[in-house]
Amino acid sequence: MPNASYQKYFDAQKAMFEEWRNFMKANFFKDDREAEAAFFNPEEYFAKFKDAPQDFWKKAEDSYKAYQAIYELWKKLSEDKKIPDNKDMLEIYDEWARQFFSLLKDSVTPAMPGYMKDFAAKFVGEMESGNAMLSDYLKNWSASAETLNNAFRDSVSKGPKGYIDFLNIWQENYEKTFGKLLNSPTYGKEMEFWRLLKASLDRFIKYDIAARKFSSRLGEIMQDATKQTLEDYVDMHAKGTQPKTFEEFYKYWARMVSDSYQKVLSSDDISTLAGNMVDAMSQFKIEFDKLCEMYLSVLPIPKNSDMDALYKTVYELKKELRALKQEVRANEKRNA
Amino acid sequence: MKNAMPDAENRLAAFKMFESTVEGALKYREKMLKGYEVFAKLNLDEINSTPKDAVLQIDKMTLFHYKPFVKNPTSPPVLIVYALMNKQYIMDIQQDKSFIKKLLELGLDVYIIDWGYATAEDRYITTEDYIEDYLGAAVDYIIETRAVPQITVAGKCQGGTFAAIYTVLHQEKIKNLVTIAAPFDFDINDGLLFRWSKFMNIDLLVKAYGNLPGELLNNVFIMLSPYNLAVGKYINVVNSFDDPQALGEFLRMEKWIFDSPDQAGENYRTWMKDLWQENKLIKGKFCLGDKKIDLKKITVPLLNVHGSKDNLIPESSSIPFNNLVSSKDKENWSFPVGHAGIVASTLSQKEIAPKIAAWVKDHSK
Repeated sequence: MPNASYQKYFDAQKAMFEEWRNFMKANFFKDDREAEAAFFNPEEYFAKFKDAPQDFWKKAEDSYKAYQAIYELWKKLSEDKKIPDNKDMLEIYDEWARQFFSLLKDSVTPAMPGYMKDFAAKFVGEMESGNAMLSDYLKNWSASAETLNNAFRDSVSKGPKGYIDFLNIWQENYEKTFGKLLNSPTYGKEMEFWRLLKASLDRFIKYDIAARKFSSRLGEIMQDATKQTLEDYVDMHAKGTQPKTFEEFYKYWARMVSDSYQKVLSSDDISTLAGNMVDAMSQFKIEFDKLCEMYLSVLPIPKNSDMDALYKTVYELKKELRALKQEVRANEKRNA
Repeated sequence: MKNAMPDAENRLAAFKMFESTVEGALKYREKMLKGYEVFAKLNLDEINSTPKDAVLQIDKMTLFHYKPFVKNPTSPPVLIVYALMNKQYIMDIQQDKSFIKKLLELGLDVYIIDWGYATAEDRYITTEDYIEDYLGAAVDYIIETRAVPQITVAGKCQGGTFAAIYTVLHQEKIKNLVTIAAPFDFDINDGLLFRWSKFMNIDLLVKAYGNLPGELLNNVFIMLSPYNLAVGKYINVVNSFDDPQALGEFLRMEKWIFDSPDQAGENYRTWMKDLWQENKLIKGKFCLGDKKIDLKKITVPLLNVHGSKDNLIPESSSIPFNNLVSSKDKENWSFPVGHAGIVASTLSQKEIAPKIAAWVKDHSK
């Protein structure tokens, strides 16, 4: 009975999408509404990744929060008149680390490029929610639960570096499981639509992972620099050469952060992460643009691919016109 | 844990720190509040305000001629070619720091190319179009309307590289070549942009975007110094909130920094792949369309100016240019400035522009 086989296969495909939707709901979206929006109206969901950059005042205000946070850290050090030892330093560091993700969320994230803000916010949210989110992650991947569990636990204690390790394992698992599903062939009258939808989600996830790895690495640099500042402060305090005012302390910290960035940004490691992120972003845009065009194809409006063909013609005509004008000028000059 | 200082001294030190901290916080708040008043009164109209006329328009390119400041300006005129990545008005950012105004005051006759803002229809414009058709048309226009056989070309950043390539092909039209913070050797280790460019898939970017969005490039520039450029400078600027002069300077620069045109896709592909990734220009392998560009063909007097604090185009990328040309009259000048400061700083007003103007005048005889 060919029809029954077809129906079974169709049901299987529907079930696969249902499962995929549950997975996305559990891992990438705040609630059902957001998941539904991404699944059935991706143009609406992805529109938020095209935010305009923050205006100047917002940046100034948010920067002030960052300034206040680092001030609190300094206050703890400067108010304590005893010479801080390594234990004190670690305690203060732990406290700072607890504030780190809210600092990221409140001050660094708003200053980030529009399309990275949501990724950064999600990264912070996940780190904050810790094990609660972990169980959501793992319920779909019971086979690799232990490895992922360990990796995620490590990521909480090791900070951004551990988080990158966790993402690497997550990505590996994804590519072996859902990644394969999303890149599997489709069929039926709307096969191209389903292919593009699956491909767009796949490229979005890959971009998401690449962006998280990159921003985590940046977070790691800031954490390391802060830790180093505190260690230096212990040494300086022992010698009586520590920064005497908050302004001095802030300048010292900011210089440490900047110097650390300069050192690390030129490494192959971060250049590769940046390259991967840009590639993943391009791949996502290419697939998603195709999907948008398909959505828009029912409307009586020209699409990018239509316009590109026209632009090519316009370009060639303009070039020809410039050449002809030049030829006319040369002739006029000769005949003058 | 023993105390580092005696009690009385401790208390005094603690009090002083508390006092300085409270005082600092109050001052910070006060400056923020005053800032609103200063902001309301600020006028940024000084940007790009030195008087000029649009004398030629081809597609999105406009050639401007600045009104000379002296009765008999130096001949031949100087054509300034700026990069496509940012706007040329950094050279006329405000009157007391205007590089252009200084050149005019010193008697030069100045033209400048404004490339405009590429839109989707421009994605197929090639490097050859920019150099041969647009830059070429500007040079021809000046030569014809001013009835001079040659002009001086001064190129900033990418504009310097374009000017050099144009000079290889049309040396008979060029009296002198001045390059300012221009990249030539792209295989260097001391510039983050140079390093990162090797890790980018340019074809994929052009395929995805058509034209490279200016906002994307801005984000790349911010990544050169993420804390300072995304957070630090906005903290520091609060100290200038009650100083209209300093705040005005900051905001003019801010406007310029983020005024980044999209990059025509085809030109971007060639620029990044052939030059930034494969360093073809100094290897003698770069072709503009079907014309091979051999820098050795350049024999005109050359002035190569660069900044030792330039982190976008480190001078190690600019300096080798002089060894690649055949010009006998050639100079390498280094100044302790950055990529923008070379044409928009106190030093550029006091030293760099006057020296360049003197060199041009000397070589215009």
